[in-house]
Parts: sequence; C-alpha cells; structure tokens
Amino acid sequence: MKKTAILLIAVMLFAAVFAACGDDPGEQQFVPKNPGTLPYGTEVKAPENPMPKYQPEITITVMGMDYSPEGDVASVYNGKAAGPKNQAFNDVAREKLGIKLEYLSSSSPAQYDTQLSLAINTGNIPDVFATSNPIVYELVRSYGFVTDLKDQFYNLNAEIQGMYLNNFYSSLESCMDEGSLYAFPTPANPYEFAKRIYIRKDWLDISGKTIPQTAEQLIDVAKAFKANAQAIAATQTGVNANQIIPIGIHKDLSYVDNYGPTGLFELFGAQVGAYFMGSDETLYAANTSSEMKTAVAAISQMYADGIIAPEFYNKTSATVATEVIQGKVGIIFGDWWVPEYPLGNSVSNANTPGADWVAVNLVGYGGKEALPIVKPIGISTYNVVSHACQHPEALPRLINLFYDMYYNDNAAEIYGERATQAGGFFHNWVPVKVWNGAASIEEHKRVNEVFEELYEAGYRVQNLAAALTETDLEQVSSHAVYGTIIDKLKTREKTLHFLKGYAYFQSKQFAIEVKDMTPAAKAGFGIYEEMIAFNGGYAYVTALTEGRANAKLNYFYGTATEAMQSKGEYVTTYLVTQFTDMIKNGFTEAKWNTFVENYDKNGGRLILNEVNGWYKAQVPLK
Amino acid sequence: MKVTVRKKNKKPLHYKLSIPRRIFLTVNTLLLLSLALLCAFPFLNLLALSFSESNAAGMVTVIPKNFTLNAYTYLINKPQFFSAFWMSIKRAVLGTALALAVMVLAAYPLSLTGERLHGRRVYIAICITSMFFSGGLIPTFMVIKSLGLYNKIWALVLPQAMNCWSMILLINFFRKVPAELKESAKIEGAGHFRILLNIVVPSSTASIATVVLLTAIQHWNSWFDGYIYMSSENYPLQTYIYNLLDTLKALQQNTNKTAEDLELLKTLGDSTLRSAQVFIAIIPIMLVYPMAQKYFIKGLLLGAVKE
Amino acid sequence: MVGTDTAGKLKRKNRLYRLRQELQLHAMLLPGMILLTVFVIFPIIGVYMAFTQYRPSPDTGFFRALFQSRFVGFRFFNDIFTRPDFTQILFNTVYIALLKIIIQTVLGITLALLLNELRSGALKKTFQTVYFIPFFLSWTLLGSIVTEMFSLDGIVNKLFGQEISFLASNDWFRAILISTDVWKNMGYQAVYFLAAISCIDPTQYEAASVDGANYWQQCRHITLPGIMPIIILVSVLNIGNVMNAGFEQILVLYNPLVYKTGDIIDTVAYRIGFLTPSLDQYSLGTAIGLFKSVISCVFFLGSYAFAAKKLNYSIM
Repeated sequence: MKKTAILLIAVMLFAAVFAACGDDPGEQQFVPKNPGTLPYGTEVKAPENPMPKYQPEITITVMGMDYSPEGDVASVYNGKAAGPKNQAFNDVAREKLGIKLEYLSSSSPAQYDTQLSLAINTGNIPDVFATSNPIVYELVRSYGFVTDLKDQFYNLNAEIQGMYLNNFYSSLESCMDEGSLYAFPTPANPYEFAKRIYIRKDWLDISGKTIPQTAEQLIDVAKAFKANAQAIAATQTGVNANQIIPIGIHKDLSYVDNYGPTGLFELFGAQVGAYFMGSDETLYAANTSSEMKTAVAAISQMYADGIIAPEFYNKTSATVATEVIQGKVGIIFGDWWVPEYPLGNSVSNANTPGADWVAVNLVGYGGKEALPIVKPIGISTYNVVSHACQHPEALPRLINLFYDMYYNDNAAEIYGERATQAGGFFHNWVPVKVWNGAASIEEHKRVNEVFEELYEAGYRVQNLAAALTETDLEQVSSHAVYGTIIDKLKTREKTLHFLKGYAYFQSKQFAIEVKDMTPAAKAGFGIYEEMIAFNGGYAYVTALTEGRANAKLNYFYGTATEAMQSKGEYVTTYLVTQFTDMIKNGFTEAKWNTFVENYDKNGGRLILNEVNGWYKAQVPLK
Repeated sequence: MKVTVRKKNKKPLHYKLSIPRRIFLTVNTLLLLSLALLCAFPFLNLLALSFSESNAAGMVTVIPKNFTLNAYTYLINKPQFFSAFWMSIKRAVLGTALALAVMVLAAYPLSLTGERLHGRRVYIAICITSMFFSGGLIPTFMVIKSLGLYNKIWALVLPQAMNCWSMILLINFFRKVPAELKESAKIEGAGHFRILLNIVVPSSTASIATVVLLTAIQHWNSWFDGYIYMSSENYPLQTYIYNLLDTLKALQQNTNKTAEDLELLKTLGDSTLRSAQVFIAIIPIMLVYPMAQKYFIKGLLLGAVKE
Repeated sequence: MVGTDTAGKLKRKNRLYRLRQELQLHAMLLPGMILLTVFVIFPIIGVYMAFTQYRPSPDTGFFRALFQSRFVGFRFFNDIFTRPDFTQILFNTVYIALLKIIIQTVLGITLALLLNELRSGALKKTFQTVYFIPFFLSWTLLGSIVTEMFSLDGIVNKLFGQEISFLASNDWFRAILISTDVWKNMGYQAVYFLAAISCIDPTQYEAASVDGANYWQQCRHITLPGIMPIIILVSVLNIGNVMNAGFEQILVLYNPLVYKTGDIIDTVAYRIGFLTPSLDQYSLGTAIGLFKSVISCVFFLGSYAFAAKKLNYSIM
C-alpha cells in the first residue's frame, strides 16, 4: 500500500512539472500576409500543344479516390473490376501523354484525406495529387512539400487560363504565398451554394394558398399545410395525416447544407458560423447577432405551431431526403440541384402521383429582404505537385487531358468509348482535374435558347408516353431545320438535357399540369427545373453571378484559427444544444442572454478577435 | 410423475417433471421465442428490402413491397462486391488459422502453474500493455508500411493474430485440464509440445471452438483496418459496404456537381441495393456458428474421459 | 563417492532437462510475443505525439520529425480537461460503459442458462444462431430501425399508448442506449457462458438428482459455481473496456438535446475532428487515446487485483 501511494505521489509530481513547462500559448498575432501578386496579366498565352507526349514514357505517382461505381458508370473495364487503378483515364494518359499513372493507394472518399495525411506523415507523398481539405493544403504548402507552379501556368490550355484570368483570379491568387504559386485550384462558383425555398405546388393548391412573398406568408402556408393534412394525405399512398411535415429540416443546425435549417435561418438574415460586415468595418459573429436572435425566436414559434417536424432533432439529411421522396414534406431549403434529387424522385414516385414542386427565392421577415448567404470565394480542390517530382509540367498536361476528355465536344471521336462513363471514364476517379467553374452558366443559357428555338421551329415529341431515345436524337440531328438548332448543343448536353428534358419542356408548353403528365415526361422534372426553367435553380445562380440578384457575404473563408482549433467545437456544440433546446422548449429573452454570455465567455470573443485579425491580413479580393 | 430417461439427444433428464417445472419450461420457450423474433426482425427487414422496389422502400417491414429481383441482378454485375467478399473469406480463414496457432501456443506456457517460467511477469506485462495502450494511427501505419505489408492481406491478419483477450480465455480453460492427465503424460516422457497437442488441446475443444468463432467473427466484422491498410480494390467486405455509404455522402457534398453525379445520387440513395449487399454479407458468418456449436458438446464428452 | 557423483550428474542432467523443457515454453511464446512487440508495443513510442505539435517534414522520416517537433507538454490534455463539460462527459462515458457491462453480463448468463434448459437441441441451435444476428448488423443500419421504433409514432409509443420522445429525453436516452446495445450483444456474450456450461461435469447433476435436489437447487449449487470462474474472467476483461461506451451507436442515435446524458469522450473527439479540423488533430487524437488507455488500464488492474485478492481468482 505504501509503495503504491509513493508511486502515485511521484507520478503526480512528475505530471505537475511536466505541465508547468513547455506549455506556451503560441503566437496569436496575425502577420499580414505578403503572398505577392500573380505575374499574369489578362492575356491568355495558350501553349502550342497543350498535351505533348513524353518520349520516353515517364511514371507519375498519384492517389485515387474510389467512388463506388453506380448507375451507368462501368463496373468492369478491360475485363477487370473498374476503379481508380483500372480506368479509361489511365490508358488514355499513357497513350496520349506518355504518362504512366502509378497509384500509391486508392481509398474511399471518406478516407482519402486520412490516406493522404498518412502518406505525408510517412514521407511517401505522390508526385501529383489533389486535396479538397484546406488544412491538408495548408500543411503541405507551409512545410515545403510542394513546389512553385508559377511557371507552369502557361502550360495550361487556353480555356483554363481564360477562366482563371477572367472569372476566378482571386481564387488563384489565394493559393499564393511569399511570391510562389502552390496550387492550381478548382474554383467553385460560390453562388452555387445559394439556398432557395422549394414548395410542394400541389399542396399549395389543395390548401388554397399562393406563392409566399414574405416569411410570414411562408409560415402561413406551412400552417395551411398542417390544417389540410387530411386532404393532402388522401392524395398520396402510404402516408397518413399525422405524418405530414410542413417544413422539413434536419438536426445539424451548425452545418451549411441541403434539406436542412440553413435556408430557414437565412430567411432572417442569419447563418450559423458566419461572420458578417458590421457598420464599423469590422466583422461580427452571426451566431450571437440580433438576426440570429430573431431567427431562433421565430423558429421556436414555428415549432410550437407544429409546422416543423416534432422530432426534427433526430433526423439526418438522408432521412429528410427520404421523407421528401415519400411525400411527407411540403417545404425544404436547398441548392440549385435539389430538383434533381430528391424532388425529381418524389415527382416520379407512383405513390405521390400529384407531386409537383416550385422554386421560390428566399423571403424576408419583418419587412426586410432575405438574401442568400455565401462566401466570397470558394475552392473545392487544390491540385499540387510534390517537391520531389522531376516533371512538374505533368500536372498541367494531365489537367488539360481531363479538360479535353470532358469538355471537348468531339471527345467521342477522339477518345471513343473511353470518354464515356460506360466506357470507363468517371470524373470522380481522375486524380487531378480543374473544372470550368463558369461552364455551367454557359450551358444553362445555351440549353435554354435551344429548347425555345426548337419549340418555335415546331419540333414536337410524338409519343409523350415513351422517353426520348438516341433514335429520336438522330432524327432531330438529321432534320434540315432542327438539326442546325440542336447542333448548338454539346454532345453531353444533347444526351442529358435534350433526351431527358424535352418531353417535360413540351408538356409544360402545352400547359399540362405535372400530375397529368406521363411518367416519361415527368422524369424530366429534375433536369428541367434546374437547368432550363426560366426560374429554375441554375437560372438563379446565373442571376447572382451576373449581378442581377444580390447575396449577403460571409466574410470568413479561411481555415480554422488557433482559438477555433481549441475552442471551436465546444462553442459550436454549446450553440447547437442551446438552439435545439430553445426551439423545442420555448424561447425566452433570459435564455438567449445566457446563451450569448456563455458563448462569448467560453471562446466566442476570442475567436471573433482572431477572425478580425485574419481578415485584416488578407489581400483585398478582386 | 416420473419420466423415463430419453436417449435422443444424449441429455438425460435428471429430475422429476413437476407441474411448476412444466410451466417454467413452456414460459421459457415462449420467452426465448419472442426474443428470437425480436432479433430476427432486422434480418427479415433487410431481406424484404432487398426484394422491394426502391420507391416503396419506406413502407417495407417484413414483407417485400412490389417484389423485384432488381437489387440482386444489379449485384451480379458488380465484380467489386465479389472480390470484397472473397477477400473477407480469405482474411477470415487465414486470420483465424494463424491466430489459433499463435494463441494456443502462447496460452499454454502461461497456463502452467507448477512450472518455472523465467520472465513470466514480462510476458504478462507485454500482454496487458498491448490490451490497453496503442501508439495511434500514424505510428502503427508506419510500422506496417515499413514492413512492406501495405495493401497485402498480412496487414489485416498479422496485427490481430495475437489477441490477449482471447488468449486469457484460453489460459483459463487450459488450466481446467485435469492435472493427472498431464502428469501421466510427463511420466511417459512427453515434452511440452506433445502434452499440448495430445492432451490439452483435445480436452479444451469448447474453448478453442469459442476462440475460433470469436476470432472469425472479429475478422469478418472488422472494417476500419481495411480502410487504412488496403487499397480500395482489395477492400474486405465490410469496408466495401461502408464505402457505399461514403460514396453517397461524398456525392451529396461534392461541390462540382455534374449532371452525371446527380444521376448517381438517385441510384445510390436507393437503400434496396445496399440491403441486398448487407444481407449477403451476413450469410457466411451465420453459417459458421452452427458448425462451431458441435464442439461445445464434444468438449463435454472428451473432458470427462479419465485414465 | 560414486553416490554423490551420480547425484551430481543427476542434478546437472536434471537441470539440463529442465532448461530444455523451459526453452520449449519460451519457443511457444515467441511468435505471439514478437507479433505483439512489433505491432503494438513498438508503435507506443508514437504516444509522444500527444505532447508535441507534430509537423511532418519533407526530408526526414516520421520518428526524426516526431522528436524534432515542438514540445508542448500537457497543452492538448489541458484543452480537454478545461472544457466546462469535461466532468459530465467523463461521467457519461464510465457510467454508460459500466452499466452496459454489468447488464450485458447478467443477461448473457441468464440467456445461457435459459437456453440450456431447452430440451430440443435443434431449437437450441437455431435460437443461438438467431440471437447472433443483431451482432452482425452495424449501427449505421440498426440506427434507423431503432430511431423509428422509438419515435413519436413508433411501435413503442403505440404499444404503451404514450407520446414520449424517447430519444430526446435525458431520462430515457441512456436506458435506450443500454437496452438496445445489450440486445445487440446478447448472443455474443452468451457464447462464453454456453461454452463454460458445456464444460461442467454431467455426473455432478446425476449425483445431485439422486440426492433429491430440484432444478433450482442444482442450478444454484452446480451450474453457477461451475461457471463462476468464467463470469469473473469475462467481467474483469470487460471492465477494461470501460472507456468505450459505444461510439458508433451513440453517434447514430444522439442529438443535441441528450448531449447532457449521452455525450461521451469519443463523440466529442469525433466532433472536434469533424467541425474544427486542424493541423494538430493527430496530436489531439493521440492525447485523447492516451488518456483513455490510462484510465482503462487502471480500472482493469483494479478489478484484476480485486478478483485476485478478494475472490481468490487469478486470471494470469
């Protein structure tokens, strides 16, 4: 006994000494960044041959992300199971570029970053790789793992150069540090994350309501849905009246994502985790702002009125999506592509024959305007080259190859089967790539114009009961008048948008209600409502990008600061707990004030100071 | 009321069959039956889902809705599933055989109470430390990588081969072997190996069967080490199934959503396809259990053999 | 003189013989010990990462980079210990885990005993296999089933005519966690005890029935004492798991309303890694792992000593 007591005391003394030393708080000041400016003007200098071939062949090590092949993605390629290590892109890279891609590993999307981190930590990084995790990018950049790519810029093809210089200069510049460019980023159009409201149109009709213009009207509509639950459930199979959920949200109040509360908060001008510009030119935290207070109070009232699912705190986004498909939900919030999934699934669900959805821009509360909240820049992946790689120009060449295979309209002639998903070309398997962030807008406009022109020229689908097939496409393409019109579309757009969307478009022109359309026509709901409809998802993104609509900016787009790392999770969890409690159990001034006090005290204030420091140190955005 | 001894299943009824006893037996059987139904429910649900149509998935309990073989025909064309299945079988068989050999060998010396074993305390300390302390992800990965085991089946099999939990179980069962048997063998001049193989092992088939079963189950169920040590074309079955969900989540978050991605979402969101795969993943291990049960009875008979 | 000589020779021969015998034992232990040392003991060096701000370096290997990293002492432990909810989290972890262990062991024994009473061997085997099913289904699958069962319009509420949101109530959440987990693992737990019961000498039962003992007496005086060593063994081993209160299960079933009673160390670590990924996350993870290991080891050694001294039962 005595021995153990002495041992314990010794251990505690040792621990105390240990704790006392070596525990410095670390630097907290932000040294203003001097990233330097890019030396590229506005002029594109296209290389003569963007995809030259290495003679003799070289080997480049990469890492693969294995999305499980589903749908029409080939499961088998060259007789063996298809995946990153066995895919069309590898063969084409070898033939065209003389680059043999060697995969150090290939892992599921969830483990890709872990595998990459392990590779970095064990000193075996790939020659060329991509990461969507800003922390990993920060690590490899600041610790010298990757090389300067400034000189490689003019090896990129003309389209990508143009895209960077004209549309996404800030994104490119944000990858600079001390005068060197460390990555070719894939820029994401931040307006693609603008949330909209999606409402079940047939429920609106049953409840005798019109499209809401304000948040108060939206709440009214939701209440009407609840009041008419019986009538609504009667039009569907497998759903009874008390399963009807007017507004569908999931439990993760702190995420900015789809089918969730994000859009709901935005009605009040708030977003969890955002930082807005105050009138005094400093940033303030949305979490403790007056907008957030209004939001939580209102949502709490909504819960009390029964228009939010009573057990929303148990639902994940997958659950809500499933409920939408089953016909239980009347209103959700989401990005531009939500009509495709899950709304399209609910429209073509035989159990919900009357399902139809309408997209509505965010509506404001208390007479104010509600704007979608987005970050000023978005980078989805960073493409980098390892410091040990002998052939850094392999990166722009691989990027060019992917770009050509995906966007080139003659890809089928050049690459044959291997440029299609069924032929083994799956973009998610390609190790490095840069998307054209501006292409979707052009696509949207083009498809819109072509559809209108075709209809004006008199093209009609004869048999609306059957889906359009490749044969129909051939007939249209070989027609004297229709052929010239449809040739304005790229191949991909012909097979996806035309084949899937035209029947729906035509039915709409005939003013046929969705519930009366044939299943084949209904199947085009998703693609039409996102890419073609004049008030569809992508039309809204286009309007925002071209400045015809406004958005509110969340000014913090950096990686977690020091205080965020040590206290961020605690304050966020605290917030989510308190908000859920206030929504479910009632909102009071006292509860809110206690929340704000504790939030600030336990790290909120510290984090805000750091965010402001970070902001001052950034290069002004172009 | 006396009942004659039944020879049917070699278990003699060794007490009078009174009325309270009979009530107890009936109640017992009913209780166990309802428990079995409760346990079987998720399994039947899975089976029913796999035969249902995707849009009706939410309404399925134990009967398939809109019976279709969709999920299974879809599965036939997926070589990834089958290679993952095969990898799990390889790993379970190899892993269990190896673990059995290693653990039986190691349990024997530690189970001896009379013999002198220098450094016994050190061995025990190593065992206990290994049960609780671990270096973390990176150092363990480093070791596997530098031994050249990355992406090889040995990375899944070797680290789990020596499992101190099961070994302690074996030690305790080995101790139960009557000392006279071991003594008589020693007098006849048998060395430790001989004693182990000819006396101890046959007397402990119940515990060895238990350990085999539990190790096989552990190998079959483990998914995390497949994630870390194997490249995706060599994923074992459970890791492969987790990847299906990962792909679904990744597609939902993927910022550069192409039209093709959205088509995929529609398919991946389909729980019926996943149900088929999960269902098939359970079958093999369910078959192992009845086979192992035989040994629970056998040990009883052999253990009673006396000189 | 011949006598002592032979005695000496015999003694040396004896010693040599004993040495050879012991060498056999060490040889048997060798493969297992090598495996343990290489794959578990050696990587423990990496635990040092919990005390540094580890940064990899492009030119040096892992271990060199580890020892060159900046030493920060107990900073990461501090980050965790000074959280206002730390005591609550620790309590939840240990409390839930201990309850699970106790109830699971008791029910496992009961199940084994009850199963043993079935007279049809075929029924016994079928039931045993069926009880195993939930064990093989992962919580990602079972999660949706359990959530639905306990939802406001789920089966449980319908059966009892209530309208309680079980999974949102701090009074009920732990009960649901424990009961569903026990249900899931019951078949697995019963295996140990079934194996032990099958090892009991049947002649003891015969002797007891001759003496006129009824079922309960036999159970109390033969079966239970017969499997008591296994019960103690399994309990002590399970106590080593006291810091693993069921991460996967809690992750799919919990929500912010029940963080107070359901939040455990692993879920907090998960949220930290997910919500605030940082350059230090491996060091933080290692720190949490080390903390868990130390506590588990202490519990295990404690129960080991208790079993050895009070119950007179030595495990190793």
